[in-house]
Amino acid sequence: MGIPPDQVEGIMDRPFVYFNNAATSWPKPDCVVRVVQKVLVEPCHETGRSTLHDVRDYPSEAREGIGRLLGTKYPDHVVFTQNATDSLNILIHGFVKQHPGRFHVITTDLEHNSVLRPLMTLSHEGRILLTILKSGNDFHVTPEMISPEIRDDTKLFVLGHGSNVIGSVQDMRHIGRFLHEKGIFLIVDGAQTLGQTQVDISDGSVDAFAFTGHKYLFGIQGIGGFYLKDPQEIAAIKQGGTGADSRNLFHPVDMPLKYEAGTANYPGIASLYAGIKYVESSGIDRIADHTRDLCRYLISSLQKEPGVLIDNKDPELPVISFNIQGLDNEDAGLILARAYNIVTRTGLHCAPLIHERLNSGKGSIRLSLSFQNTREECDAAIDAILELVTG
Amino acid sequence: MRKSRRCIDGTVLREYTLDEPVPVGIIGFLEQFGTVKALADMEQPFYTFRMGDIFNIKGMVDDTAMFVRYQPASMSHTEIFFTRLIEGFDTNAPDLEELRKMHGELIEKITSVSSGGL
Repeated sequence: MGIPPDQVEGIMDRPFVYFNNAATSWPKPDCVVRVVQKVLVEPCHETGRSTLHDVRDYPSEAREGIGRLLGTKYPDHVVFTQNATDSLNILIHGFVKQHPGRFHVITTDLEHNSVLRPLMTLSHEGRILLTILKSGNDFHVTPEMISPEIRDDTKLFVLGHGSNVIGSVQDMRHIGRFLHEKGIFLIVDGAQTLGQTQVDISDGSVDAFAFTGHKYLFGIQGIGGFYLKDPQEIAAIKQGGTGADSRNLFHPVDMPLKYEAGTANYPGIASLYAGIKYVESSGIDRIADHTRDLCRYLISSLQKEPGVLIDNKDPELPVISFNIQGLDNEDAGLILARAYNIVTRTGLHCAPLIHERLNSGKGSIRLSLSFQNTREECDAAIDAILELVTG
Repeated sequence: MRKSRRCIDGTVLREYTLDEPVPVGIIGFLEQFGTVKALADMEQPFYTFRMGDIFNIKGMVDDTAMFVRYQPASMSHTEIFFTRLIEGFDTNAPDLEELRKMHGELIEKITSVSSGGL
C-alpha cells in the first residue's frame, strides 16, 4: 500500500526556471538524488546504535568533507544539526548559557532572523545588551566600524558571512583577528557561503561557523551543522542518547557528541556527503565564476530598463534584489511564477533590517542562482521581467 | 479546492487551487464586493481584489490558483465568505442577493471583532 500515484502531486509537467537557490537549491545533482535513494532503500550506518556492518559511514565522511571545505584539520569539531538556524540557536544560546551574567553582544543590520531572533529574545529576557551595527554603504563591515561599539563587557559578535539580500561577503578572518585582540568570541553565519565561495578558517580567526546543507552544498532540507573551535565556550543545550557511553547518565562532553543528541538525519547527512563531493569535483572557484557571470549578465540586461530598480549591482554572491516600478514585489513575483514559470522569492527574505535601509521595509524580488542555472534560463527571466516592466 | 498556508508578516496567506481556471469574468464579479485592480493588458491578466483591510485576493485569469491574504483575527469569518464567493462564481447564476447579505454581515462581524465585541 502507499499513496496512489495520482495523489502524488507533480509540477514537473511544465518546465520552469528556478531562481530561489538562496532559500533551497534545486535541482539537486544526480549524485545527491542517488545517494538519498540508496540510504532509504538500504539500512543506515548508525554509529553505536546497530550491529549492522559493511555499510558506508556517511556521517564521518561528511564531517571530513565539511572539514576540507572549511580548511580545518579537526573534523570531529564539525557538528550536525537540522540547518543553520538550528546551529545558530545552539551556538548563541549555548554561549550565553556558558557565560553567566549580563554582557554586551554586537551584530549587524544585514543579518537573517536566524541571528536576530535568538539575540532579540535574549535581549528581551535581559541576558544580553545588543548593539545592531549599521553596515557601510557598500554593505560591508570593517574593524574600524566595529571598534567604537566595543565596550568593556562585549563578549560576542555574531556576523553573517554573506548577505542573502544584497550578496555582500564579509572579510570574516580580518574581523575575527581584530575581535580576538579584544577577547571577543566570533560566531559566523555561513548559510549563504559554504559551497558557493571559498571559506577558509584554518587560521583560527573564526570561533564558530554555522552552515546549512540544503543551499549551496546541494543536500536535502533538514541537514546543517556548525564548526566549533573550542567547545569550552559553548554549553550544550540538548542532552540525550548518543549511541556511546550509555552507562553515563550525563551527556558526553567530547566532540562532536557534546552537541549531537538523538538519532541523526542519516538521509540528510548522506545527501550532504554527496553534495560536498559534487561541489569539490565542480570546484568552488568554477562555481563562483559561473554564477558571477550569470549574475552580471542578468544585471547588465535588466538595468538598461529604468523601471527595474536593482538594489545590488555588483553582488559577490549570486543574489539580485530588485523591484519593478509601480508594481508590488509580491504581485510581480506571483506574475513571474504563474505566467512565466519563473520561481523567485519576494518580500523580506527573513532579513527585515536591511530592507528598512533599502526601501523602508517594502522588500524586494530576489533572483538567487546556483551552479545548476544556465544562460538560457537567465534569458527567459530577462524577457519575462522586461515584458512585465514595459507591459 | 485545496489549500496550503503560509504566514507572512502577521497575516495568513492561503493558496487555493480551483478545479478549473478562472475566466476573465472573475474581475467584474469581484468588483461587486470590493476594489479590484487588474493588469488587463497582459496576455493572462493579473488581478487583485481588496475588501478594505479585511482580506485580499490575487490571481491571474486562466489560472487555477488564487492567493488570499487574511487577517488572523477575522479569518474564520472571511474564509467562509471567500469560499461562498468562489462557489457562487462557479455557478452560472450566482445568488448575488445572498452574497451581498453575507458581505454586509461579514463587515458587521469584523467591525464587532475589531471593537472587541466578539
